[in-house]
Amino acid sequence: VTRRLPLLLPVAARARATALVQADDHQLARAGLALRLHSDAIVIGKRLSRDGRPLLLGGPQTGYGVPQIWMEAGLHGAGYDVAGVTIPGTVAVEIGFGSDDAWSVTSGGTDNSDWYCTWTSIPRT
Amino acid sequence: VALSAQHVYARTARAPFYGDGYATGQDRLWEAEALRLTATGTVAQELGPGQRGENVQSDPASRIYSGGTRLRILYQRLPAPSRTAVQGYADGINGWISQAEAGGKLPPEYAAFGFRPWPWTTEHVLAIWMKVGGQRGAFGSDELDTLPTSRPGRPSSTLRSPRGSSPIPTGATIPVLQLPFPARLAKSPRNQ
Repeated sequence: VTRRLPLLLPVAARARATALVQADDHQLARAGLALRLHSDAIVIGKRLSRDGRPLLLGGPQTGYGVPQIWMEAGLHGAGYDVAGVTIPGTVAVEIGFGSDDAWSVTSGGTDNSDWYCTWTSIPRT
Repeated sequence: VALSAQHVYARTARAPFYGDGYATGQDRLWEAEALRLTATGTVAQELGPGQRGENVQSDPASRIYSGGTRLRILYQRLPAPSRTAVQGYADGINGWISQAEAGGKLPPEYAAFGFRPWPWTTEHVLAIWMKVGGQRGAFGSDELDTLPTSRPGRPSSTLRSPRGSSPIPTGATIPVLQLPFPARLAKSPRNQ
């Protein structure tokens, strides 16, 4: 019985987290802040910020997961000085900041191709 | 499990990414593995077909758009610093995998599903990148779904079927990863 606990705990934690997230989603949706799809990002210019430096708020809105898709990391040295979040298994800090800049991602909601329908008449030979 | 964010300090161009890959292996190897299986279309091969064959159905799509040849070409076309980063990261994960296998520290899911991690390659790094990008931000280009309702000479996007009626809703063509929970792990004698 004691050995079963470590397995049951994550399951219970996951169920609880899922319930909490769903309840949270519901509350946010009622408040007009639904999370489904699409992203946002806000940049505040240096003239408007208190300390005279621009600010970036990245809201990629990727939802929640257990385990979370994002993993915090910092890479320093050899010309790199960044911190932010990475995706396990692939390289690069997708969202983060360096010594002089910051970046975020938004959903790739671009429709890059259009398909056309046309009628053709094949001449009978 | 990491208690705080990992920070890698290094001197050579390869080392930060080696450290990133190594630390990722330490903390999140099974999550990375699940992403790799999904991205390379090998879920059914290692985890089985799924309860309703869903793994068999989802694998081919990943293999089509992230096939090994395409990814090898993509890797070769990367700028040199990016190739160094990708290779260093793959080497880092492999560094941890070797150490974990020797020390019996692999995530228990590997034993539960009955396979060992094969070496992480640069193609795997790029495949996961592309897969997750597709999951989180692939939209548009669903005109083919609505083609039957189109008229000649006009882009079908102007004749898109009413919202929700498309068989494949925009943005939902790639299923979001469900981290597999190994049923066998719960049933193994060690855990009874």
